[in-house]
Amino acid sequence: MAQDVIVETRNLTKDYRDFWGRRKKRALNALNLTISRGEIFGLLGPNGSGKTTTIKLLLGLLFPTDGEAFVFGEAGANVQKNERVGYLPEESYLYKFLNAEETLDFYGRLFNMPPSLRKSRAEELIDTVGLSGDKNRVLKEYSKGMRQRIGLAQCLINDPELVILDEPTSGLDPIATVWMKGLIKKLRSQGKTVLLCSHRLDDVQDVCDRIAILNEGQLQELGLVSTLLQDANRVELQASGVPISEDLRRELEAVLQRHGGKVEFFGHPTTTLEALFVRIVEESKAHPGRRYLPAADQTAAGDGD
Amino acid sequence: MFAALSLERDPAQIKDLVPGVQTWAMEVGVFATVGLICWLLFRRRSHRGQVGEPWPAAVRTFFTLLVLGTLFSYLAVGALRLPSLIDVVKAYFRDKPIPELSSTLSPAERILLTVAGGCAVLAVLLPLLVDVLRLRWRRIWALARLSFKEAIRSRVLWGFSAMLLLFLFGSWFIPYDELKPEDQVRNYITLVYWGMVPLLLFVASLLAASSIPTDVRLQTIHTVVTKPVERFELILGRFLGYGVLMSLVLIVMTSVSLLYVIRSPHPAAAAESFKARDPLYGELLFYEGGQRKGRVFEGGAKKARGENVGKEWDYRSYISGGLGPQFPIVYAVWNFESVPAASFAGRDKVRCEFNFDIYRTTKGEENKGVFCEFVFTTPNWSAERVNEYERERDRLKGAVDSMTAANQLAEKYGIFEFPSKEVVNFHTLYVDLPPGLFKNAAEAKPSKGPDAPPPLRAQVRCISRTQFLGMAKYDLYLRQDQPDNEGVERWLFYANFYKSASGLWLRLCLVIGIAVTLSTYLSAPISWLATIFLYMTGMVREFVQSVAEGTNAGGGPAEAAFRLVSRTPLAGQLEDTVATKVVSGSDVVNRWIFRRFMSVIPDVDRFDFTDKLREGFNISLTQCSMDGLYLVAYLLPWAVLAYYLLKSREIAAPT
Repeated sequence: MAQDVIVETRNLTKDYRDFWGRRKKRALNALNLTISRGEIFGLLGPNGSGKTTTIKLLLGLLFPTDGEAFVFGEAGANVQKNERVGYLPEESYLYKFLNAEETLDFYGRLFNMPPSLRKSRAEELIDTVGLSGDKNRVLKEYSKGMRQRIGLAQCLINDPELVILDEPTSGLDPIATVWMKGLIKKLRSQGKTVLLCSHRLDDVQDVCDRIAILNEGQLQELGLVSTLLQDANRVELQASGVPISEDLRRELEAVLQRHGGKVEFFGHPTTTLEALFVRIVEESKAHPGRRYLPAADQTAAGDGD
Repeated sequence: MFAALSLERDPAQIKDLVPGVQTWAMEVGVFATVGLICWLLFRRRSHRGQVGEPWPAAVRTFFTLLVLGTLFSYLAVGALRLPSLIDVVKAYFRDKPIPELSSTLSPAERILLTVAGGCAVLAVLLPLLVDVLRLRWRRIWALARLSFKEAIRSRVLWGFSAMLLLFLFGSWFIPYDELKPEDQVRNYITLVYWGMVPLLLFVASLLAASSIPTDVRLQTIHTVVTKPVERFELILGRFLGYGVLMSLVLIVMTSVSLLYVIRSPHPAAAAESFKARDPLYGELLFYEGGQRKGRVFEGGAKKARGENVGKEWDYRSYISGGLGPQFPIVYAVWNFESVPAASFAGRDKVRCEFNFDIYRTTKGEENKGVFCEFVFTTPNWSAERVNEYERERDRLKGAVDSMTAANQLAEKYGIFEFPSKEVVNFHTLYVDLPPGLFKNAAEAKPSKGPDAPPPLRAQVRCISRTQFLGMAKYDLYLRQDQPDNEGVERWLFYANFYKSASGLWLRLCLVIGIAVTLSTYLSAPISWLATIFLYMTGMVREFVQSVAEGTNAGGGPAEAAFRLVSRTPLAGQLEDTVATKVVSGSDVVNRWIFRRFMSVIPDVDRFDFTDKLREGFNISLTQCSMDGLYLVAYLLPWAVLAYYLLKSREIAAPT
């Protein structure tokens, strides 16, 4: 196995069976994929497509029916590999009677970390995930987003080389989603490998280098996001500082006709709803008292200014 | 005084250790062998990828050797048994009476079975031993702390406040003042243990049985096992966590109970109960048809048990007071093989306590109890010196006080007589022995042989005509501690109170161990029910054993059901019909199953030290240690089972 291959599956297959050993469902069928060091790899698929099963097989939470799963060249069930792995499950399954500090201390102990390192690492991560003000509250008092944040902190307690995130933006508001995506990109910049599993396509598109699309346990597509999303039959041109006018449109159509093409859309591009939401919330934070006013009121307010 | 401690089996001793280990290896070895066979048969069908690192070649070779050792040892036992099996087959084909196969093991068979069992146990333990090197205390302790915090923060401990209610209102139900004031402390001890035992066992088993299943249900276990945590660490962590929690609760509750018990006791109760006798027991024999020779009783048929007076509980057997001096004597003898004679010789007196059951065949004389006679001798006593002894006794009479005279006589001749002592039914009475007797015993030359006299022999005879005295081995003993020192005795009682709690602690460890093991595979309610079932079966283990061995009245389960349906009395003979043959045949199978199951049933009663505490007997550290070792031996196979169950379990599998 090449040195920079972090995750590899060979014909990885998983059947779920009933009490009598009869096959109920094939959750994963002969999956072959590799993930290299420093990549953000996305596993995409609808519910029940085998994404989470793949992750559980890699982590030894399930045993393969056939094929093999390797992480750092070791079998999935080998617990030693977990020293270098961080895992954030789909729901943040943490002990709700512990507070944030105790949670991180507990998981730090599981990594056999000395007390001083546990303490400093916990403080750093609580700060990173923005829970400094709530670190003494027990987790059962946390909102879903807060639990996801502390879940991410426990995932990073051992400064892992491979971070496995199962639906990391589940339950997060758009601001937290943006923050999470930024953090994932930051992890890559730190040289970590990220395996991301999600059915939120925009998240995957924003952060992943490569993706695999699964459906009903079968690998449907695998490759670079940029390559897979590229539409070779279309050309996109974005320009700034030019007002929209009929003249401009006609001239552009003429140029495109000469090259055998045609204009499909001509106008101002729209931003994403996520970008709009983030901008408005940030403006609101910057200017306390900002509020929405209907168009007439806005005019009136403008008049007043 | 009223202290009647009944010990229906000998307390565990150091000498039981080696045979115990041997039996353990044989019994656990059978289960280990079955496990090995299953593994060999089904290993190809097991899940792929669940095996961690491959073993080093040396470990693989060792494992193979152990499997071969098991195989060849069992084959050798088979070879030793082959001739008798051939005889059975020959008899069957030649229509001769089929000889019965011996159920007792020859020394060679015992050794071979121990080797086979030991090899099988080691082979099964090997993967665990390899993994043990990877266990880390910090992780185990983290998981233990987690269990601890979980129990505290889920307010489980509120349940223990029920105990306080019991203490608050317990006195309402114990009207000791009107009946027997001396029973007050004894009743309080009974009360606190009746409260503590079920409460603690219930909570401990419930917590332990629900821990891992709850983790699996809530999927919190996913974030734990995806860390570098060995699955056995999970088991140890849970066991340790609940063990520590229940230990702390037990310490607190025992202290509160002690305060409750010792608070303003009735003086009679304090005198009766605040002690921890350290008894030295002898071996009891009965002699029937003996006669007085010199000062002692001699001759007669030696028997392990005395008369049976028809009582259902046959713990004690009886000696008769006879019908008159012309009739042969029936007497009981306690042989004390190990007496610390030198130590006893330095005391003012050595107390010999006894408590006998009186069985009257006539009303006896009005206002007169039942009397018995004691004679204590050392090996230096000789019937040839009886005249010399009697002359000296007569000379000393009046010259010195009776105790000094008895001491001088005992030191010189090795005999001490107590010709008439009134016995009160089930009351502990005593005779103070002079230290001279032990000085004489210390000077005696040790002799060996089956008929060699022991350092001290106590002979007891009932001298009330037509009356019977019931006695058992543990009904007469020498006190190794110093009686009549109230301050010291009280502190020994306090220590004994905590030692008694150690028996409950062992039972708590037992249920936690079983419940954690079962919960690695079963759901929480099923684990808890199975734990309680095992524990309660352990409480009636002796009965189950009698069914397994076919010694109980009424036969096995099938025969019992048949008797119930056909309304046949327990003692009635079953008719020889096809139905009874089927019933008897199925009970053979049932008994075989019961015998296999016997090794799984915990011996719960051995951890119950309450009787000793209540009756004021010291709970020896040897007994506590031996029972602790028994617990370790019992729980070790459970721990191995838990290791395999959790290691082979798909944690995230849909249930």
